[in-house]
Amino acid sequence: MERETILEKLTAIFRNVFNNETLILNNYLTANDVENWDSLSHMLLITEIESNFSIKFKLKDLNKMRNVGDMIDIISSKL
Amino acid sequence: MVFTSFNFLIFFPLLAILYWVTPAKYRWLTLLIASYFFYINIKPIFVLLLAGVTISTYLFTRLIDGTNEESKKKQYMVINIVLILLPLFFFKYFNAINEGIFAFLDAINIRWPLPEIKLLLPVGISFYTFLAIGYTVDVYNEEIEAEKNIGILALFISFFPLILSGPIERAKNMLPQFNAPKNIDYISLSQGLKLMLWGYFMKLVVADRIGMYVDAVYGYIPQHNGTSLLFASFLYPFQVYADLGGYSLIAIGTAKILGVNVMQNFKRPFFATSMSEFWRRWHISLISWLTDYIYTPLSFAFRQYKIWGIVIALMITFFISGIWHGAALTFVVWGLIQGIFLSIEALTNKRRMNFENKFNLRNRGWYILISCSFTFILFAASQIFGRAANFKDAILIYQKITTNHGSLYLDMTTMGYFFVGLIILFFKDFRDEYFPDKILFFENHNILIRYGSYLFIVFSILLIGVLDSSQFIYFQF
Amino acid sequence: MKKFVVKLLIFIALIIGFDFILGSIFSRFYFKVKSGTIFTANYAIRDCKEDILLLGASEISHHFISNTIKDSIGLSCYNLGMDGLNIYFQYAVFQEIVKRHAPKILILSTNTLSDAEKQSVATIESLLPYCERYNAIKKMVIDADSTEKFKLLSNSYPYNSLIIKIFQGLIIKEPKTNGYEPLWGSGINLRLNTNPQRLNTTPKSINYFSDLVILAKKSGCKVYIVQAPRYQINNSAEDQLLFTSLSDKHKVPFLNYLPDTKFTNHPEYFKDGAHLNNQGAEILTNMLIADLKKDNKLNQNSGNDALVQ
Repeated sequence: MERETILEKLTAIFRNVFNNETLILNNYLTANDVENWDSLSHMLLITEIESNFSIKFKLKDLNKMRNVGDMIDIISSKL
Repeated sequence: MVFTSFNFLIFFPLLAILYWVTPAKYRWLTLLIASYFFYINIKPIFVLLLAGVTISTYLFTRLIDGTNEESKKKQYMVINIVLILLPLFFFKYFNAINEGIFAFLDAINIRWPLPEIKLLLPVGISFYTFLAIGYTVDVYNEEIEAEKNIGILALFISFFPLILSGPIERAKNMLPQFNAPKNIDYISLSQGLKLMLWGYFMKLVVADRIGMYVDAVYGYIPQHNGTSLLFASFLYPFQVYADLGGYSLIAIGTAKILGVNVMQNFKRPFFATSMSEFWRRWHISLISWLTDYIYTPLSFAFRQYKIWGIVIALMITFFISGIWHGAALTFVVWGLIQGIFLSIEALTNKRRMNFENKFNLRNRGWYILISCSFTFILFAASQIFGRAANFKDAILIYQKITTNHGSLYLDMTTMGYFFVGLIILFFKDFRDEYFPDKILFFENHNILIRYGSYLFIVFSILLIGVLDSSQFIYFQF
Repeated sequence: MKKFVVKLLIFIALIIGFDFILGSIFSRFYFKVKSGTIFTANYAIRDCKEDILLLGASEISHHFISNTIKDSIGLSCYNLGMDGLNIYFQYAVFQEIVKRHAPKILILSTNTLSDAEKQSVATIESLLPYCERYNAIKKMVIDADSTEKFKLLSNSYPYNSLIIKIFQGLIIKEPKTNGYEPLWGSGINLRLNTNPQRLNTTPKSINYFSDLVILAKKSGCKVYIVQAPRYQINNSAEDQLLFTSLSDKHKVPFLNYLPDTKFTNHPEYFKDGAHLNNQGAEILTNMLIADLKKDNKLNQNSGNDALVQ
């Protein structure tokens, strides 16, 4: 899957989980930039991504996700 | 040697001078010797334990990096964690577990009286154990390479500004700083001094003074009425904030003077509008440690249960937070209460957000005020368990607060002094929260205002601070 | 960097300067106080000239009515009891008193022997404002805590936590009770504690107590050791032994009012477990007066100065 497509799908997931229809993603976006994205909601986000892309993350992967860009890299490596 | 002791005021300036005079290559050694000297002055015998934890952690992290086999890496990590948890469990929880077992044996009518062992808790063990565990996990997760210089690792685990009460730092932040010390710069010195000054103010003028009142009420619960207990319970969170928050600032300031940057531990917690936000502003280093090493792996493991997985992870994490604070039922209850608060907030999050957005509440001053007040009340209520000597007392306090009213216990002198301290503290935090660039004192461009502010705080400490050495609440950790 | 060091030195100089000024201002107001414990301490050290002096803590200050003693015996009397203070205060202050005036009668409470840590710390704190002007007091303070030698370099440090007390003492006038502080009402929650309570004595406090008695006798005072009543609490055997042995050693009478039946079954005379109210104080004062008169009548026969008309 291309990065663009991943980004598109991710945007839809983010907008759903964080209840924000106007949210725009970019590679450098972090939890600090999105209201309500904290450790409580992070896992919900992760499960949505996993079910949406039909992949399974490892705990080690989580630690490597510093921003949306990293997220896309890791998702893409599992597809 | 506590930060507020006379000896520290002599020790630290001398050490700072010695540190900056040492050539950069050996500065870590100066700090290491100073840290062990600092620790020996508290309780010599427990230095052995500190060294033991260091040696074990050094060996096993080197082993982790030395192998490529995933299963072996995991083994080394687990063994080290178990090894360094053993002393913590033994010293901290031995008596509690002993009593628990006795109570159980009593219940089924078997009793073998064992000699009671009076155990003194090794100072700082709760803190440096967490440092070592975090570092071990980080090496396993390849977040950081195992430190090859055992002296640097020993310094990380024993670093004296942090060893008594935190902040609980990470190897990733500290090891590079110890390995590559900066050059002296006067801005860091100046900032460090200001942080220390404000920390001493919080601790000596606010925390210890409020503590006198709270101790007088909580120490004689049968003699006080519900009104006084309510007021004391209302004051207690401010005491803890000023105590641990002030202490953390002294620690951070001390480190800064030595050219080391340490993380922030408190961020004006009483301006939080929800318990979730509160726990991002209160004892940040501890929560962040628990989040990274306990909550995240747990919630990840339970993620198939969606929101309920989060709830389970929260409850377990805060249960651990509770027992980390102390081996008593009251602390467990305190921890579980926090878990319940956060779980409720997680469960109702979407609904609350919708409600707030619909009426644009987040921008209304009165809504923020109500939210902050409500959050404070929740925390203060849970802190009754944190402060009461035992579970029975805590329940008694709750009973009295709801049923037994009367005239408030007054101690004009103590209240007068801490009232002044609280106003000053509140003003500073309020300004930092809502208009951080205006009405500056310590950071004012005008040198008269700056120096005037420093002098005002120095003499506040000298004249209304509680100066006979008392201990920090978190000291026996 | 150099600029920083210069600024730091200037700042330290400012601290020293302001410390000196503030200390002087506080000192001036401190010694002008008109009521309260600060006044009593000032009066004791600077001015007191009464013939009968009572030294001790709250078991003295709330228990002995100076004016009644004066009216009945005909000698001036001042109650120098200071709540919460122990031997460090009493001995240090007495050394200063005796430099200018030797009382005829000195009443010492047994509680003076206490060296409980918190109490001793508070006592030393209360002595700090006097260290500048009174050497015996400064010596006592430094002997109790050697770090005070450095802390006393600061002029304003002795006035820590005293601002409000000084202010109160300046605006409230002292009632003319000559040191006696009456307690009113009777305590409802009297703790029934029949276990004897041990006094926290140390070799140091016992030595200072003896030194005080010796100094008093050398100066010509008639010394009495007094044990105030407590509600249904007795002296432990060790304490009782200590008091009687000190009394024997220094040949001073030990007036023990603790087991007296006038108090053991009368909660209405007590404000709380350890303190009498005004009613109880009247009774106790009269008992003391009777004992003083009796004791001095005996002395009259052996040719000593008659103290009683």
